[in-house]
Amino acid sequence: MRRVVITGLGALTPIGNTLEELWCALVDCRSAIAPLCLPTAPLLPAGRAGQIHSFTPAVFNIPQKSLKVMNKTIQYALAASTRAVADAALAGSGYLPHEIGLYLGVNGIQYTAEELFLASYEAGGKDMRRYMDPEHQTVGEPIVFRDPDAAVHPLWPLSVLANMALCHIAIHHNIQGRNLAFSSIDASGMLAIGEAFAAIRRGELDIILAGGSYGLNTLDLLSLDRCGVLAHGDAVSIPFDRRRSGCVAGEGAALMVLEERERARKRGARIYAEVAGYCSWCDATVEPFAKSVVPESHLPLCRCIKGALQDAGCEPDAISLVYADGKGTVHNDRQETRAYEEIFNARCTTLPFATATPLTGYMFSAHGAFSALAAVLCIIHSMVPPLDNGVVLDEGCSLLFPKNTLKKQVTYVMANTFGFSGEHATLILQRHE
Amino acid sequence: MSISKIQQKEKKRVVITGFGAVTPLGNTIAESWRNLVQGKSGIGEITLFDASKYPVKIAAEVKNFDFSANLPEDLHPFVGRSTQFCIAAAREALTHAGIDTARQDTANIGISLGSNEESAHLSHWERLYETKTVKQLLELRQEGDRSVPPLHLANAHSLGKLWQIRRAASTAAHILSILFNIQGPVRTSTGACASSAQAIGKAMRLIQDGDAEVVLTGGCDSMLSEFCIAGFHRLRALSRNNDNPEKASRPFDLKRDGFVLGEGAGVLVLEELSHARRRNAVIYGELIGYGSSSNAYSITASPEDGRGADLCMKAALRDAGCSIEDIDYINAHGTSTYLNDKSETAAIKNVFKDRAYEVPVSSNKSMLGHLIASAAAIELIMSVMTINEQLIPPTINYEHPDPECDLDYVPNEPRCRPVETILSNSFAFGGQNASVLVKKYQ
Repeated sequence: MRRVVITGLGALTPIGNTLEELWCALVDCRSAIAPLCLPTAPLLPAGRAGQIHSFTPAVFNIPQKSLKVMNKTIQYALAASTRAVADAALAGSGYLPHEIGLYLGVNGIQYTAEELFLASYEAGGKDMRRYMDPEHQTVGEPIVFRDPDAAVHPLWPLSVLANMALCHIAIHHNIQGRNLAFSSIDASGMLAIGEAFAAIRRGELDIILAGGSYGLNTLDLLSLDRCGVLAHGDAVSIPFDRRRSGCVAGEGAALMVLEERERARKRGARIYAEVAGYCSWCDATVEPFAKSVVPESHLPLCRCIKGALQDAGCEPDAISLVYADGKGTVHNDRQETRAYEEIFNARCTTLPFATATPLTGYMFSAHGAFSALAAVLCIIHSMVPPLDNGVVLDEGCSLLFPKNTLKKQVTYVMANTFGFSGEHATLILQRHE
Repeated sequence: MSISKIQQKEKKRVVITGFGAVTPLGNTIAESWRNLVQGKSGIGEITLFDASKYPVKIAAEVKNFDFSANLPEDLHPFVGRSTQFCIAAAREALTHAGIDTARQDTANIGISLGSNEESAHLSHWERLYETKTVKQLLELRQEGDRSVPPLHLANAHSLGKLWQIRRAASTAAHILSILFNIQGPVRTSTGACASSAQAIGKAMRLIQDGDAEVVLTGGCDSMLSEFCIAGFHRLRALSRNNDNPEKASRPFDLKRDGFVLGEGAGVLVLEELSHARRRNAVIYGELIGYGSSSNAYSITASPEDGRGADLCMKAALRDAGCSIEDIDYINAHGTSTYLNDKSETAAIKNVFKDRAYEVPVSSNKSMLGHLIASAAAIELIMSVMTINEQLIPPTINYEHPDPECDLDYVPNEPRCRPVETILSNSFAFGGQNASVLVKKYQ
């Protein structure tokens, strides 16, 4: 059987733009959750987020003039891809451009509220006073672009199409092989890595750059809030804590180079870890989906986890660390906990769990990829980072979140995405000997 | 998994046992196909919004579609326009295939769709800001006026509560899984104009790998919003032939001036051969190859030398174990933009060499318009119809030969001719390419 290893990592996160920074922040529990910094922040109910503030596109060779066609998701994806490609020493590795694949998980079309505002504003004839005048509050009045050319920036479609991040990476690194963009909300990033793993194992390609990216934006914060999943005001990110009140958004990108093991060995690549198993699962039940985005059962996630364990050919007992999704909403965390209790039973009290959401916030389409990357770091360092000081778990919840950094050999790590939309994914990564 | 097991797995054959579509040419396959081979155009004036002040006033809209489809009440908040089309197409496809998912165990049935995020229409935002603009709200807040409601309250009526979910590209697939009780793997790919080709490739793999025995695959899209019309126009990608909508989409013609944006959905039922045989299903064709590549060239333009697109056609041929001699017809991407058609022609020549001049190439988009994420699925269905009817749909509006596009484009009239194997191309904005090979089932 073809085996798949990880030979390059690249990440751009609120807690660090290099693997070293990132790892230090994880073990020191250095949180980047801060007051939300967006022009529209005063209007948004969510008060805090994990944002990237120290990002200089030029550092990643992204030309200034390209920035106007790149929203944040694209910029982060490109930056992280540059890191991952360099980390895997792809230059001069002997791979031809069409042999390299690219699988990317992104959120779909992103309209920023600013863009839409501008369009609406222009559409109203640049004089919104008419709408402000109490005598003219006829809201249903149809409005059209007086001058569509002025209202929509010519490059706007290029900054919003869901496949653009992937295309920019392909152009930047001259990657011409098989490619796929995933946008299944929060499961996207992990789906990309899992599907890349499956494609290499089945022999379609020997190498794939895979991961996810997410840029925080007003519209998502608005519409996510409408779904009732975001924490409000000063609430911090405290997944699995009984005081949790919702998801705190984050942003970032995480990409990795997956490679067929023999080929990686032959070219002398440094091997970080091996991908052992993957499964994705989608709830096909009307109830949880239609009533709200609140999961009402832990069973779909259980099914996903079992599928991945089976795929990896390992028993739950073999797992030495679980990288949890940890969205921080009341219901998600509860159902996620139940899934672990069902899978691991009594072992929950001794098996360490980890989640980075208290530090980074929830990075949606990048989050699964980031969890996988963090899991690889745990394998490399033989350490489990602690959960942000003093978690007070739900009554009856027995998950073990280490209070201090735990030194231990990590053989198998399981990373999970428990998707809002009912699409879940599980990856199992293995220490490579 | 041993090597022999992998090889054994590769032997799994994937056949097409049903399909359905909602297109600008008709709300059923039969109607769309009839119009397609008669060379009718589905393009007309935009009716979805007042386009009178736009430089582009034409589109390929779905017409007379019954939106009152039988949907559970609680799914309504999630179902956008394109998902409605998708449900109708999936229903037609399942009926066509004779599969009743309500009456069987569906763990072996999967879904793989290509889709786009639901477009925002100006009307959403008009209401979103109601009487105040974002800027004004911000100014008032900064002045200390706390009475201004936060944006999320101001927009309460315009943004559906679950809009975040509804607009997500993956929602169409989720809705199908719920509606048709499908419990196998569910996948969504978002590769703009190549989305559904990629989804079909993924579906093929799900069956070949044994992850599913039946997969509903295809795609849906409706980008007909003010933003997309204005945006694509600003990119100079759209035809402005407003006076003659039916003449606007003219792939490979010298006077082509851009594509015509359209909407629709196409769904195919793919099935593992032995599964189809066991239930005595009618087999309409076999999927034998899939290829994918990326131009790594430009986010707007296609390379004039056909680089990238040729890689993907070659990959599909290799996957199928076919040679260029085996291909009887190419269902082109053929968007009617200056660069795409030129680049695709060059790519076909790169792959087919001298044979390029012998293989008929036609573009369904001359009649259907460009249905973006659903284009490849609908075009594959039309290819399957071509195999079954032995009739190649024409490229209409082909009037002025372009010296740079000098292949046999099946101009204006359908052609009766034996067709066994078809190559269907899809090339996305940004340079993602996907090709699918379909063959007469033997």
